[in-house]
Amino acid sequence: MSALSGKLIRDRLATDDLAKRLVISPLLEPGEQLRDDQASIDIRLGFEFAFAAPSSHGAIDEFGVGLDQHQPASFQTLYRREYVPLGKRLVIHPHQFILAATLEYIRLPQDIMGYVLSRSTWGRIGLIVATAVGIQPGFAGSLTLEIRNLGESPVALYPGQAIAQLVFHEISGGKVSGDGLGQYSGMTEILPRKMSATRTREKLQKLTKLG
Amino acid sequence: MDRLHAQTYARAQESFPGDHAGPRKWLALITGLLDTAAAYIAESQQPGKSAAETLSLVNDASQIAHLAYQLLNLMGGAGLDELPYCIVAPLQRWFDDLGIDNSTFFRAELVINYELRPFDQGTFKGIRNPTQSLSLAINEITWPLLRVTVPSKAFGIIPHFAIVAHELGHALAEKIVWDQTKFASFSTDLVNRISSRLNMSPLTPSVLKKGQEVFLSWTAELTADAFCFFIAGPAAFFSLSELLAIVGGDGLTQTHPAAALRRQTLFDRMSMGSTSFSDLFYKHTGQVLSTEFVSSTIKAPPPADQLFVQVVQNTKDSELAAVLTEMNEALPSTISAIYEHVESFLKANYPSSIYTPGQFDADLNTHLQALLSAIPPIESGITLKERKATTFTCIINVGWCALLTKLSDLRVKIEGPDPLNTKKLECLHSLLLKSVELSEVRRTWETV
Repeated sequence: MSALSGKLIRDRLATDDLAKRLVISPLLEPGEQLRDDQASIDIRLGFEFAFAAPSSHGAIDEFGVGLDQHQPASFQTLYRREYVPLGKRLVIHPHQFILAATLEYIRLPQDIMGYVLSRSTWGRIGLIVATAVGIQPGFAGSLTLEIRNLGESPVALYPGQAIAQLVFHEISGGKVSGDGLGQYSGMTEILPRKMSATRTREKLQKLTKLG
Repeated sequence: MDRLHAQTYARAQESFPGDHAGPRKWLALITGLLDTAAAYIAESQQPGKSAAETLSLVNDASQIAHLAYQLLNLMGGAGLDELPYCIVAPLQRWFDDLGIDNSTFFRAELVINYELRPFDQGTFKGIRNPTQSLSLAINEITWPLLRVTVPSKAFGIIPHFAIVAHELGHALAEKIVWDQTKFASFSTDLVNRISSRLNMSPLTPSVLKKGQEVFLSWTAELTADAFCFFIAGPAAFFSLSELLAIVGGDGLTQTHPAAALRRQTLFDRMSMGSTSFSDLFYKHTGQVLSTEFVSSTIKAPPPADQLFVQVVQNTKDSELAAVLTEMNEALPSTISAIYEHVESFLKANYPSSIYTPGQFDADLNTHLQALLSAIPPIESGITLKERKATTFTCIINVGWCALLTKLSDLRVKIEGPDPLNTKKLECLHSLLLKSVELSEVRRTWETV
């Protein structure tokens, strides 16, 4: 599986063909974020954060009484949100887990998929970024990064810092079938919406009731 | 007073949308008032004060604290819960770019209303022995301070915020030097009409006063509409028409001319020029613009005789009824003069603030189809190095065109049925809000 080179990423970002265009916007420092001698592009930390908040739920249970998957707003009760503008900071403490949006709005054409990779600099101080690493063709929105501080020291995070990198691959055969619009297409919400696909959820729900 | 102090302190710890200085200046003013009231109380407890002096100081302290309480209430809705963080900076830039250097703060209210309310320094100047904190707070503000109110929650829809440019127009109108000769024939015509309606010649001072007040109010609204149109372009027509339709009725009051007249005026301006906004709207959306495009529920006032009877019934004031009826008949002849004055003023002083058909064309060329492919209008420019932040005006105009004509074409994943495109509307709003946020980030980054 080959990765798009820096030049190919640049070409995709600049193409007039909307069906082929890769969108990563805004690119605040294109020269730093995208280099021809690399096969990735840096993305930055955004402004929206969500922390796991104390709640009355015994567990995050897709089929339990504590969290009804038919009410996506239930996830809202599990998180406390924070908006941190440019120039301000947020401190993530050891072993803390947060969700963070990317600064960039990202849209993948239907013939490209991507992966989010941690940057080694952050990894060396114990910060692990992006556990859900795959970005499906047709994704459109801000990426939600799952960040955990596995280190021993608090780490200050500033919106605008380069936090991760994206690597892209062309889809063999041209493009995915169907409408190519993934679960989060066009959405910029960072909180999760559902845990299982519809049919899986329905069947598991029936089994849960039977059990 | 201690409770007020604590509440003011708590508000000062909050983040405000856009990290805007306005709310903090307002809070500093409240703190200064409370400090001054506390100083009065302290003085009242000094030995040697007579009972009358003590009572007077305590009364004054009470009044000042009461004023502080009112000011705290007046900034309700200025927090992040009501107003999106990113919306304030572009709205403030409109003020800055048009030379309005008054201190401002923005807030949102759960009411379908846009308002620009000025606060004068006079209220605070008369306070005896202000503390240093109050003096500093007063001096930090460029008076009159302007409070801008927009709707919150469900009606806080990005393209509608074009109406803030109408409120800006109210602030700018006083800077226009009006050529009174352009309105001379209108005045004569109006006086004759009212005389005839009331069978009264000459008109009494009471009628003339009412006529003058209504004229000033109505022309202020039309002037503000004109500013909104020149600054925001087609978004002004769409936003104002829809707002007037939501408010309902014919809109004709002592302070506002008929909604149908305002809408028709804006529509006429949309259709002017060799390549008009309406032409371009058709070119990019395939839809022919009509006066009622977004506002079919606006009612025209009844014919003059019927209107007169109706207003008399409602107000029991035949003089006012005659003024409103005849003003409604005569005012259209002044509208072109009002628009000419506003256009000349902007061209002479702030030419780059005018949103032109050429810009509308370019914005739709670049962003309309892209937006429908879930690419929000954050940046314009071909190569990565040439890219610049889009303007707020671009975002609201592209947003309106997508909203009104292309919503069903928006290529985003929608779960479940969406027969009225309400879920897509929410998605479009989310994309436009993202555009405002990220174009602002781009702009901020470039200025560092």
